[in-house]
Amino acid sequence: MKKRKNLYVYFFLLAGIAIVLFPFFWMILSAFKSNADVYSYPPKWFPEKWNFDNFAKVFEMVPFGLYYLNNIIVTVLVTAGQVFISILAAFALARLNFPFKKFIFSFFLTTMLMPFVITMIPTFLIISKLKWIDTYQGLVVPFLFSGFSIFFLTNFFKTFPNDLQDAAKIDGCGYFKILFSIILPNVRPAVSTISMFTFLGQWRSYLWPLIVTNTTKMRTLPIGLRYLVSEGGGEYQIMMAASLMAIIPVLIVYIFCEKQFIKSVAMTGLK
Amino acid sequence: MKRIIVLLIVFSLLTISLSSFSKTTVNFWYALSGNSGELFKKLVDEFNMENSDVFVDAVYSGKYADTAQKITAALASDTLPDGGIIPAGPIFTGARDNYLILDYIEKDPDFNMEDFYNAMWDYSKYDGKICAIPYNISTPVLYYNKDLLKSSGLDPENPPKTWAELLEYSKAMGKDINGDGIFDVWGMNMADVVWIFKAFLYQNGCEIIDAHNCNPLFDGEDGIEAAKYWKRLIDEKAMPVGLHDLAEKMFLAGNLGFYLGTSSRIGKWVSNTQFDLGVAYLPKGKRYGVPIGGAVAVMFPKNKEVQDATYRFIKFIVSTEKVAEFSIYTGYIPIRKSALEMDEMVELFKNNPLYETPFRQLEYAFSYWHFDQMGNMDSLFWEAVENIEREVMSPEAAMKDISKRLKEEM
Repeated sequence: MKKRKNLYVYFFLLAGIAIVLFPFFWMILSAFKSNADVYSYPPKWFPEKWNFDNFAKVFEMVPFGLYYLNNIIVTVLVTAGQVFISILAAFALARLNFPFKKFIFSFFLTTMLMPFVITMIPTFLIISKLKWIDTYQGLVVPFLFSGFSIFFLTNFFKTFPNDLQDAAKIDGCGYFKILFSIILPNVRPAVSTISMFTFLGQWRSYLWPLIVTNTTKMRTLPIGLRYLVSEGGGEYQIMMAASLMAIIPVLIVYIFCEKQFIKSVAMTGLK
Repeated sequence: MKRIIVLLIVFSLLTISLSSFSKTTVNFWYALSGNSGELFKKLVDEFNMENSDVFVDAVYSGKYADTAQKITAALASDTLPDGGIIPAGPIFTGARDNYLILDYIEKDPDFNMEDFYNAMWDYSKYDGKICAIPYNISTPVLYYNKDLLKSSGLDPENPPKTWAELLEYSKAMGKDINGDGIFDVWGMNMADVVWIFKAFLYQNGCEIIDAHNCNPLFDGEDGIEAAKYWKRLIDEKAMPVGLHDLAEKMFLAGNLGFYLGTSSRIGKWVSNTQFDLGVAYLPKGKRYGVPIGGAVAVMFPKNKEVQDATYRFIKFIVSTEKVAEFSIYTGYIPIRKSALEMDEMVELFKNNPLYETPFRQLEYAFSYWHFDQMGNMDSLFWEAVENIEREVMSPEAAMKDISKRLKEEM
């Protein structure tokens, strides 16, 4: 009886996997198709002739290597900076007592309710006053603070037992030692989850880099991807080839964080 | 001491000679990507090669909607480029009292305004005054599936020329093949619903809007009549309710007789469809008429040197030869009449007669001047069409409703 139940479960799981993997599969196949194959009807699964020209075409049309490098620089800086700042803020909010703590925490929370399109122009005005347009600072600094990251980590830090912290204090630990040697090793899943979210969000960020950069040398990958297809749609095979190359770092980061990520989701469920 | 003086003199001479060689840089944004972007980049390189004193730094500014955001941000922070190819250009120039480009055109004896189609100029006006130069422009045409016409007993060489014929032919082609009571093959459909709806309004003698005082004209008799024709197309099963998103796919799959859509598909579709493809003028109501869509070239005020250089570059890309080259490669419509006489163009028409239709149809092109609520009007049209098709409102009520709401917004 139990076995049969398992069978059903596996059937649904497999169906789920198929649904999730389908777009990836389609992207990979499309990257090797000709334009006619992409538009053929009924749709063709496999390209008539596997062609690698699409990949060459990507490098011809945009400075793909440069965009890639810029994307890595910006994403790594934002992820590292945002996670570091969020850890410090979350520690203060979760473990320390100081005036207006509640107010500051809810203030941070309200930033989560504000969609980016509303804050975009004011942020742009500040960046332009600072003369940061077309610089890495302009791309990175506005994203170092994230209400969501701080909120997420604060809640995790709160679950950390007080006794452990007190014991560390008695043994002579300062705040930084408590944070980095005692708390952090125990909340690694939460930190890697937030790193992954930040990395993903930043890697595909399009509108802000488009608005804040005016030269090719500061541009990032998503802008390059958009450029490959004309306004009315068109050369999707080239865009798919570029996308295929663009998701590699995301996969690497996911594989690295996956174990920790699952752990953190499981733990959130327990609370 | 002497040596220092000599050094200083040499140094100052050097800087003077260097500065006289220095180039004027033009920051130019363009909202062209893919194929069109590639050709545009090529034109920029050509210009930079030919002009040693100017360097055009052309930067892609994103899709149409994103470009509008980028320009808005730049306007707010005073970081505008020197010029650009942007959608809704007049909203960012004329509406802010920038008619710079018109000064240049008027002072330039070589610039032949007559050679551009009138509708192109209307498309580049705000409050009746030119504040841009049309650039990448497309208009809708009637694509038709010759095989389907033939199998429905219609003459594949004689596509519909009037509204009545369009309705009649479309009805003849609609079929329910598998007998489930739902049509599998449809007569006509379109993807850009609002664009085509505006074409119908104009074809029926309605000028859509009086941009002079922003008075909607589509709730008049002509406008309501056009909306009623739309309803008839639905009622008599010439066209499906909704399903407009699928129009292009249906057409390519051979399940649609007439596709009313942008001329820029020609390059992609010629010799790529599994059926014999035909291209014709949009059928006429009381008159022929096709709306214009696309982006325009604009200039923003800077110092005179930069402005001069920007104008020179814009003049270069809208020259007859470059316009012809751009059109042939991208499928956009040539904005100048003289481009049609170019040898390359004649050659193209000889080898690909399908191109000739949309390029010649331009004499019937129309446009209203840009005004601030243009985008709102389009979304109201979309609502009206939905209400008419789904029988939420009668054509008359729907048109009166959106006209009232547009007036309220203004």
